[in-house]
Amino acid sequence: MNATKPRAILHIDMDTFFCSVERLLDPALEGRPVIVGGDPSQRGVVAACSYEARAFGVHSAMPLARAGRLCPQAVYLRGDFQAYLYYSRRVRDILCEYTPTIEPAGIDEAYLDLTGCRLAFGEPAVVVREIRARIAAELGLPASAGLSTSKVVSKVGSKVAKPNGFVEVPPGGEAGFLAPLPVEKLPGVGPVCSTTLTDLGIRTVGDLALLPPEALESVLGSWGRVLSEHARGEDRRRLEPGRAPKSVSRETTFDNDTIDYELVRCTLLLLAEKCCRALRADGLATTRIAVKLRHSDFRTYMKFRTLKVPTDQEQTVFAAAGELFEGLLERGVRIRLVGVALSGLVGAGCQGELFEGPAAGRSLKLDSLNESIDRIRERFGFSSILRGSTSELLPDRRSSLRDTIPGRLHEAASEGSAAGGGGAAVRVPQPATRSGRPPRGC
Amino acid sequence: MIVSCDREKLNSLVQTALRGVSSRVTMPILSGLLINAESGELVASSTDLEMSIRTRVEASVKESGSTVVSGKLLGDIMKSLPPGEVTVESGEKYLVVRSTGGEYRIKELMPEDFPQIPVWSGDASFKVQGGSFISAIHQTSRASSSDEKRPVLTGSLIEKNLESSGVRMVATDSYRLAWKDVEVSGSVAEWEDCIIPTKTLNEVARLAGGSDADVETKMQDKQAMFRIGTMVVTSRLIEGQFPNYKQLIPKGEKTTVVLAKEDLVAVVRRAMIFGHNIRFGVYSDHLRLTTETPEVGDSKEEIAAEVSGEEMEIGFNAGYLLDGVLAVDTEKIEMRFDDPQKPALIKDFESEEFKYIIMPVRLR
Repeated sequence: MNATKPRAILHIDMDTFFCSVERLLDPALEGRPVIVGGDPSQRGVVAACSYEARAFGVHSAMPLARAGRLCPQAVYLRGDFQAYLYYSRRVRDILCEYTPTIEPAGIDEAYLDLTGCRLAFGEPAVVVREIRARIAAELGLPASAGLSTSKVVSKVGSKVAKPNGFVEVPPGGEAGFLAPLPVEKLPGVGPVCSTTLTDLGIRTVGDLALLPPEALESVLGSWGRVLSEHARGEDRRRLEPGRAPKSVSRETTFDNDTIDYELVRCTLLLLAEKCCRALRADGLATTRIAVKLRHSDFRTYMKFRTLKVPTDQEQTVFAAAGELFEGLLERGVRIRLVGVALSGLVGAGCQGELFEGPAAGRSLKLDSLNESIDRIRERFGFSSILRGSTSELLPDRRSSLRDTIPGRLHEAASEGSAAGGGGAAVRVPQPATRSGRPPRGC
Repeated sequence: MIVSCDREKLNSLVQTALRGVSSRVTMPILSGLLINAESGELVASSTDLEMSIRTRVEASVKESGSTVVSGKLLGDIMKSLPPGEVTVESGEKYLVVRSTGGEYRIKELMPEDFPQIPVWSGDASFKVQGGSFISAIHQTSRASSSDEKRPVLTGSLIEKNLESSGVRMVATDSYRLAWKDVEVSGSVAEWEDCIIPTKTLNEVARLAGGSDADVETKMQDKQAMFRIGTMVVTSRLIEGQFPNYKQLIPKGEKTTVVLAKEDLVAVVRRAMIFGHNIRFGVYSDHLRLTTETPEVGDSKEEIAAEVSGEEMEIGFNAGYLLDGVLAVDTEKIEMRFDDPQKPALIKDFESEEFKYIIMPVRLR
């Protein structure tokens, strides 16, 4: 960190990222309300919506059915996560040219520490303009940016700058910039917290900054003290670049709660495949497998198993996941959601087996099989090659699965918490049939 | 039953028998110890149906008899009694333990419900010097599997070795295999090769650990029995075919490495901090061990070694490699390699008694 110059932290946030990518792939969507998440007749939630749709009161994480009532004329899309990932990586490629200190905060946003790049690239504000211009010119995507001395102020800045704008908060101007904004603009202030604060007569960030930290702490706990600092524009958190994923998880909510346990098992296999593919992409293997099951009455259970030999093979993960599932299963009870989470991640390698017999060399053979499948999928998309038992599950083939939700929406969709959940629902990708598809990576 | 005995001896008897009580009992009676008093001896027995322990001590038996009581309760009170004479008396419902000034009553369980505990009869098949039996178990048992789905691999093979008229102990979890040849006194001719749960062998090693006594071994009613002094451990056998391991032995035609065991242990331990799998490079006069965990960190360390043959690179699970190196009984360790995809051999230097075969990891 530069000792004399104040920090220059950039928060860059892609505007309605999923919708912008969809428009890039299909220019006919331009100017029309677009909602990504699925069909309004289905049970999913809105993963992303364009500004045109927001004008009708639609927002992300809203049930699709509700969005359908508010904005029936919108174009509803399942979503193409592979395409989003592809563009997310291209954005990341551009960002990487300016600083190694990048903290990804999701598939469509990131923090950059530009403090040290003055010598090489000039003043941070100039760099930000250049970055935004390049993203627009090279990828055709709009991005908003906030630049300040801290993560929290920059994050608020990019939010205020939307759509497609840039807000710079000079050193010393943090508190002044935040003061007039409504408290909901501060990261971490959700509906519940906001109501609590409104009850106390706090409406703006400035009101919040005036409150003694102890008072806020007594209402909100230790989070209150942090929030109080943030309200005054104080945030000394460093960026955490290249944080290794602690776990990889995928989960799926069924279209209709099901007692077709064979369907659940096949879904587990699909999820295991997706998790393992993410592991292999990062050169990792798992030592701890978890299965999550949510019944129709929302009772949710998880069961874990620890492995002695780390694996990145879906065959091994599925074998364990299947047994864990048996252990969780209550016959006759409908299942709403099933998930797989892999943690205890270590560097990958394939442990060979000693003995001849049917299993001899199986592990190594599977290893090369999985490697080949990964290569095919990298070129032609996930659903270009599928197992017999999972081929019926993908949305374009069968309608009973609503979505596959990465643990969190994130680069490579792999850095989720084991509890998973995420917020938005994303469709598993469909085969590359539309024109204008990027050549690789999706 | 009325018996008196010194607290020290009685406590040691009970604690020994308690080793056979499983912490997760399937039937309540198995949480108990069977106590027998007859002809000047107090005998305590326990079983988890897989293994049983029967141990005895001299005592002054005023009235013979038998009972079953909670092992934990009896063990806890024995541990806490002051030194001196202790009297144990079974009534109709309670076993009464009396010590100077104290009286403790433990609810009795039904002795007739207690499983039959095998009693050693006749002569041993063979006898092994206690120390070498224990070290053979320690050297091999870590290669055993704990995966109940492949029961055969949760046991150790004890087979007669007619060439040396000794026995060989072999254990494997299919990723690595350890074997040790053990000298015995007596004939192994009558010994039937069998697979004994490794858990039981570890218990035998633990029980034999405190004394220099020989371990006597025999097969009786399709069970393996081990006698150490006044203790007898009986074990059920694991049914099934132990993998044919002899074909696996690497010839080590390509590369041989010799180096100090302690040095290698230290390097492997440090490397393990940075990753599960070790890239094990063999060069003309040294080894280079590297590990990495992406986005976390990596390690690289070189160590001098006498190398003959070709240079090569092979991957190992760090834990399996460490187990093998630690099990070596000589100051120097010998390693032999044929191919990075084929099993490697770790052994005692200039000795063929102990061998550890480890299947490599294919590194990416």
